Amino acid sequence: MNDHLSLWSLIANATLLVQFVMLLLFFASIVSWVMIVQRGLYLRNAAHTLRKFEDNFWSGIDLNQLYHDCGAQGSVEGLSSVFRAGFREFNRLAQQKSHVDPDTVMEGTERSMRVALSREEERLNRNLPFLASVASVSPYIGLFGTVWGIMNAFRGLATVQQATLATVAPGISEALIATAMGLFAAIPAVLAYNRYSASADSIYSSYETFAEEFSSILHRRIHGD
Amino acid sequence: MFSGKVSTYTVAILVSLLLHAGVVMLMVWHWEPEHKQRKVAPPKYVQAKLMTLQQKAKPQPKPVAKPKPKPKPVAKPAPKPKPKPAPKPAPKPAPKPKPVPKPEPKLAPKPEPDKKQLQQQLASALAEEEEFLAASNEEEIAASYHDYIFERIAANWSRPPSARREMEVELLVQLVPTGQVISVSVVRSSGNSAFDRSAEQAVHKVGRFEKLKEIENPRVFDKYFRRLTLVFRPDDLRL
Repeated sequence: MNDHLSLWSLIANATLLVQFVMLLLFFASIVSWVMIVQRGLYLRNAAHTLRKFEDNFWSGIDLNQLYHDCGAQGSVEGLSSVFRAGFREFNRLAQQKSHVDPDTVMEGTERSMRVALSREEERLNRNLPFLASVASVSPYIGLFGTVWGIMNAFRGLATVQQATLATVAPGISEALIATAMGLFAAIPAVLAYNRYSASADSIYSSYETFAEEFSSILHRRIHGD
Repeated sequence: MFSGKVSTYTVAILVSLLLHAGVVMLMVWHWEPEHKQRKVAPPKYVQAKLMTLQQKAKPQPKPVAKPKPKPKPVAKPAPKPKPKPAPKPAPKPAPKPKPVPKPEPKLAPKPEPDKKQLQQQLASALAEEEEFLAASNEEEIAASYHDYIFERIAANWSRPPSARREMEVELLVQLVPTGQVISVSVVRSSGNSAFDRSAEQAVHKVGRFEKLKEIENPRVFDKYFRRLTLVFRPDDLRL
């Protein structure tokens, strides 16, 4: 009994296909957990820097000073990259000779901010599609392994004269491991995907709001001058 | 920027690998399904048959005990009223009913000389009952093996086309405790030799009743199976 039903012997005695399914699910689980942890750290960091930058920005600091501070920090990510892209473009256009239309300056600024925003959005949502596909597909893969394993168990049963539960039980148990692994991979991935996509959305909408506000400030400045 | 990203990925990979290693360890260690030894209690059936005990034990003590307490009511009232007058001189009506209930508890100690006799009766009744139970138990065992024998023979009996409903052949089958058939002989013929022969053939075809080996009590075997009389009737294949 002991050596009959140990986890290793169950996996080792499984069909090649079921073993493959299990291996696939195991790696999917490992990779999805890498994504989960990495995304968690990244998004937490992003939310933190967002708060810090907004505090800094609305503290009344000189924009030139802020621009240089952001550049000095080394890592230009998140809101500061949006700010830097917009401000750089604005200064570059505004410093050109006087025959530049203010609307053209604003248009260029907004465009460059939009580019930075979309780059940031891509960064926020990186790896989330992988989590989504692990979440939706791995139960099916596990189920496929289980169905295949049970199929084999019953096929083996057909040739046996005296069929008892003990002849099919190991096969079914082994097959069910595949479903368990699929669910094990899928459940954290679903939770992480939902949570992270929600927080990525909220961070991105903060970026957008900031971009709007910043462009309105620049607008005021160019028309006020 | 680049170094920061790498570090989050390193942390993530480490965390993920540790988590999976932990899960695998947990699974391997706690995999063994708990084996609870389920005790299957064999059904104990109690057969209570006390008809002999009731008839013999009950009536006996009565006649012995009855005559004894009779003199007591006379003797008892005498000592009882004596201590009473001292504490309670006035309430006399109390001692009157007393002598009546008193002799009743005395009834039990009185038949003491008969106790041995009673026990003996009880023991003999119990032994009788046990014997009866054993006999009925044997009968039960024998009946189940009879059914088995009938089944085996019925499975091996091919009736001849000349068999008629009213035909009946009685065979005497001699068996040994291994279940092997020693001899088969016709005790009472049906009048149709083909039918007689088919019945004989059926027993020979079985040859050995394997299950009879399982009878533990040789007495049961000797009593019921050493010489077995079987009646063959074609109507419903009941033997």
